[in-house]
Amino acid sequence: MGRLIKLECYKLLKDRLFWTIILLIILINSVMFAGQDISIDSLAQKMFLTIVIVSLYGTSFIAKDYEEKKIIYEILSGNSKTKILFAKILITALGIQIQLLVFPIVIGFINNKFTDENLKIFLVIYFWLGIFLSFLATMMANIFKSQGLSIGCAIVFHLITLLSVNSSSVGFIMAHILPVGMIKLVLNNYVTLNQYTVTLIVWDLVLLILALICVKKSEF
Amino acid sequence: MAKRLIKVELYQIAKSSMFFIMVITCCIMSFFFTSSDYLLEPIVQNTPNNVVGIYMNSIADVGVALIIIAGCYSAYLFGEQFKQRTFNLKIGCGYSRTQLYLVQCLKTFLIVGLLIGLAVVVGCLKYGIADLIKAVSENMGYFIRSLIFIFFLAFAIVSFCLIFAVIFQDTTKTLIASFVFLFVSCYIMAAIVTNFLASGNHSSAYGISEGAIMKFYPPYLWRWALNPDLNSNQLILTLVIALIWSVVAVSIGCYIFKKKEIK
Repeated sequence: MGRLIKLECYKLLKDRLFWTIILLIILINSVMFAGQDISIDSLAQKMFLTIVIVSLYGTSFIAKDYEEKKIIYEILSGNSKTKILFAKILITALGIQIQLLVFPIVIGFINNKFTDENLKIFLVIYFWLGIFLSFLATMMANIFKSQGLSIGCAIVFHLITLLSVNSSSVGFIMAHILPVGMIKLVLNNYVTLNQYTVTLIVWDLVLLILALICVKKSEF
Repeated sequence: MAKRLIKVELYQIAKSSMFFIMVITCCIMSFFFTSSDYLLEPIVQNTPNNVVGIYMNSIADVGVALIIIAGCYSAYLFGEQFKQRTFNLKIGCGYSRTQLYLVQCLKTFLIVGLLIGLAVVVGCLKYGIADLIKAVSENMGYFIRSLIFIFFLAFAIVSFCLIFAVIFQDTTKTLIASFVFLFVSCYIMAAIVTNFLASGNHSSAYGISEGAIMKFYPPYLWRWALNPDLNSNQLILTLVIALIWSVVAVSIGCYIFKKKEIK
């Protein structure tokens, strides 16, 4: 397992797209927040694009190995499919966390505006969201095994989230179910941090089970 | 010679199961998110209180999300041809690069327009097929006009994604770049533009033009052109602007495609 994690970590750090996306996220957010008073609320409101970009990168990172059949070499080396999957989830989650939190942390420390409590809540919310996104990426990649298709499905999922959370009829209910929608509810105290955490753990478990079923059943 | 190329592309679409999955996905999205609440808080100016009002607001709301999905799908189809090296074979068969690019543009034009147009109509069906048919027959002019604008304005926006496909020649990078471009141009920029126009605050970015320049921005025109009270000059101007943007994007893409070494 240690060697698999090392391998994934090496792939992540040597991936030019990973660093490009970090730069892109900083650039986009800097433009979006230019000349504005940055607060936790405004950060949470305008981070949707970052969340989607990060999710698409995570999906492509995992799907790449399936598409280019590199996963076969890992299996032939005697590693179990479950171990390979967990190593991938772990490193994808790490990559996603770095990309997701790079702008809030940098801007938080530069501006020195966030109180400790606010920043703590914000980081916990986005930590759990990052974990959810890595499980989502794993499941999409395991089902479709193609970068294009899995990224396309991730885009559709996030757009459905956006439309349903903004819908006037079902928006409030959907915000209680969909992780991205729940962020605003937690910050506005409609939902407690514990409820948010439990909901995301349930999502993670469901996605993990689906990914495990897919990886066990699939032929490479 | 290009006729055969068009035939091949149309055959590929007709036999592609993914195209039908996309059609179904777009229709389901439109069906679920089209709402009669549009009549209470209309997005489009001068919205009538009937199915036509729901139809025009559905284009303005769900239509924008559908542009992103259809645009990413078109960029994916184009990017896949680089990845699968289909272009190398086609060039080997004697087709010019200009022909290849223009046929891809035609394919994108048809796919994007069809996906959005069909999905929006399906979304309105939940308010009664008979009511919709009656509304279409009574407002035939408006429906034809809106469909023409769907095809041309959507292509004016999406045609830039084809440039990303040519530059990157890779599905992942193309899809991420297309999504960021479409999301920023359709949601973020269009929202900023609308706020500027609504509040009359043109002091910063658009000071010189006092808002007039926004009328040349296709994602803004996507909603603006749905207003049923526009006169014929405004409609023609909208169409001309969409055509200019499309020609610019296609020319840039075609130029890069001709100069770029294919992997």
